[in-house]
Amino acid sequence: MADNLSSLNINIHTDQRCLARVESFGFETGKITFLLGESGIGKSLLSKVYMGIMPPRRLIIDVNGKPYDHHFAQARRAPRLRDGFFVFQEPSSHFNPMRTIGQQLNEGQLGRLGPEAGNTVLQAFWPDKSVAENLLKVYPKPYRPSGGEKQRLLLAMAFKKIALYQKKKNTGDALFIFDEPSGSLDNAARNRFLDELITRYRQKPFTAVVITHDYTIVSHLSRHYAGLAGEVAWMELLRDTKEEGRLLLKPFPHHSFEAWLASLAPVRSQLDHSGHEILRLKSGVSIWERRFAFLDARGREVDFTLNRGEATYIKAPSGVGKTTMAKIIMGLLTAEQTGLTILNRPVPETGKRAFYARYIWGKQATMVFQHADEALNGELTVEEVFKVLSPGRNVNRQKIMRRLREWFGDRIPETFLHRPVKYLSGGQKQRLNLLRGFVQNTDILILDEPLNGLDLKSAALVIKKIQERQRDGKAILIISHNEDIMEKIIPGENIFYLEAASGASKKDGGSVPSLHTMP
Amino acid sequence: MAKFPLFTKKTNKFRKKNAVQKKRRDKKEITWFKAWLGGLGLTWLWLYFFLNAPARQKIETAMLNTFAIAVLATTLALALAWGYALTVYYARRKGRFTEQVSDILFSTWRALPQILGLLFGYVLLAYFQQSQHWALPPVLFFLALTVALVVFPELGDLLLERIAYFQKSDFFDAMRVSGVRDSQIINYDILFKNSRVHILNKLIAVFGMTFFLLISVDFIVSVGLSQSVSLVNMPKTLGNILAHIDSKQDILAIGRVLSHPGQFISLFFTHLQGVSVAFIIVFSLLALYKISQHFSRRLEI
Repeated sequence: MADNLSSLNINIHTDQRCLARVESFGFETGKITFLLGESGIGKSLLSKVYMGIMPPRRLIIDVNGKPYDHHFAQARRAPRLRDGFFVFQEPSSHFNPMRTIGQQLNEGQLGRLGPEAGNTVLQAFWPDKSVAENLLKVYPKPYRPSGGEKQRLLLAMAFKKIALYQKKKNTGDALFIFDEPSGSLDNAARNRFLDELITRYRQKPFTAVVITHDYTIVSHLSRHYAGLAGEVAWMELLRDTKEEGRLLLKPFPHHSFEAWLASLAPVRSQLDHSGHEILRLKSGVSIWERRFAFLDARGREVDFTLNRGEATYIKAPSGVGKTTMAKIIMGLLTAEQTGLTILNRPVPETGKRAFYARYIWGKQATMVFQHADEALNGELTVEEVFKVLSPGRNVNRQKIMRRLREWFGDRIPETFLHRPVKYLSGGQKQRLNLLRGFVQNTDILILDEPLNGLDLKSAALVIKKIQERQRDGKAILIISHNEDIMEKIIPGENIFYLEAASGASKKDGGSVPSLHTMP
Repeated sequence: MAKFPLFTKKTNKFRKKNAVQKKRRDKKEITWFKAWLGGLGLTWLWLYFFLNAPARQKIETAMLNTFAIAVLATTLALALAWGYALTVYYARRKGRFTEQVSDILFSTWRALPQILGLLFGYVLLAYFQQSQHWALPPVLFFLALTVALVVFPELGDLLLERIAYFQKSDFFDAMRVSGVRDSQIINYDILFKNSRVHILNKLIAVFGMTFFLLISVDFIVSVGLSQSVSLVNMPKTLGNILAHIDSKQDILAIGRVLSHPGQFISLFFTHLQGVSVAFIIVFSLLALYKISQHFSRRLEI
């Protein structure tokens, strides 16, 4: 039965259109497959159908030419899938608010794993035992674990299931699918996940699929696990440009990523005013009873600055407050003790909204938000996204088309302008989100996770656009967890480490943590 | 590799069945709307054949007046609610003081029970009518405005909820930092583009509520709570037709059918005024409830 499930022809559609149609969708048994591809292309959907965990009623699905119900029933009986696990992308909806996190980590089959083995799994994700112990005692509400904590808890569940599978004797294969396991993790936590996956795999192999668009995993694996090449498969889900909805599952040339990464280098603007300071935020900003400090590469506390023609990078573990800093700079959050100067104009303590509306927003600075899905109005058409930026709603269609073709390829038709944003794929939304920021041509551009959800080709395009903007003398602030890429294009002196300490300001006794706590 | 069969006979059948079922499910509120209009049409036909012309014309006028007031009241409630939502939003944005002032004002207004507000409106109308006789359109407008004034906070709350919902997401801030004015984000992007179905659904409910309130108050006023308001100086509505002596006798006749079942058939010929008005009211309320229910269910509001 397992063989029947190894490669499937899947067709997913609604009443109106085909969402995904792929031939021979499957993963090599006994290998770790990294499945790449732009966000929203259908990686998760196809994997859920493959594993038989997609609720059958929502969409019209055919598997190998038969209605999905047939595959749904078959998959539930397949030992390969029964012994496996699926880590969902969005961890928010996973936890039952009425049970402690510890109880949920021992639910069903997971409870069969002894406490010692269970603790070993947890230690892989929480080296500090006491933190994990405290977390297990709380209820998901009102505690509200952070995105990173939830992600690690789900991974711990999956690894408990792996440990259970490995305890069994004479069993066949088991399939473990991790859907965007590093989406909410910083690089250190992501690397711990990869290390744990490979360590377990080496103890007793199984089939694992890691769905991701974090291409920097490629460089991590080639640096630390060069000998594993035979056990790892790199696959990419691509759109067939000739037929709408048709997808192709192809091997991903991972060396091309490394070659591209190696080719990256910082750029500098040759304009006269390049290097001039355009923004300064004093270190020691306080918000929500936390004090934020900026440190340079040597660990000295410094003010955060942005200069014309330069890209600057804020680095910190996930959840520390990088986006919060960007929102404070953009006047969307009000912090205490903000010494903020933009274009030699100190930001006033009162009447901040009027100041930003008059001088900053869309004029001197703009920001591209992290989640394109939320940041764009799904009910607008592509053209309207640009129309609303102009007070008279007048836009030059030819100009927009030219910009769209730069970002989406020459083949997009003019009808693309009339397509509602909600019908674009995740990767297309992210590119549109970025383009909306770039077309405003402001002196300061803040990009929060600009490479989120993009395939390699689009990521390369975004890096190219960032560097073009630098050459034009614009200042760019980047927040990203793609450290490998950002450190290639941003010189060390423009990298700021953000640290947060509980308690209010320095004068109230708050302290700035030392460099050794930095990632 | 064999070509993947996109449309086999089996999957086609499966797909068609699903699509038909979905379509049927989708049209329930339209079906109820048609049933409502059809029911009213059939009632009119019955009245045309079996009720005397003056009485039938009275019912026709009452029905048209009631629906005219309800439609106008719903429209005015939307305008008032929109203004209310914007006032509260800008008052909150302006500062603590203005926020508190707007909260106190609107909370005081909201504290007034709807039925009392309406009765007060009728008292005012009666007072104005004593000194000068108004033509029908201003009277209808006044009544609609009275109803709108007491129901708009409910609709306004929905608009504020929608604004608050989008304010929490990146959507609002992403547009602000792009230099888009708050008024445009709220009026166009949030309320017009993203809340139309929510507003429409609420408007159906408001229409139903207005219809019910209007009939209730007309009935109360017409049975004699007020000395100065009578059927003579108020526009005919379904509520005051129901309160009219003939209709009351017709309604009592329905009760008598319970002990004298043999008289059931005669209800539809000899007591037609009261029975048909009662039917129009009950059937309209049921149809409006069903339309709203299926509309919100289909769109998962």
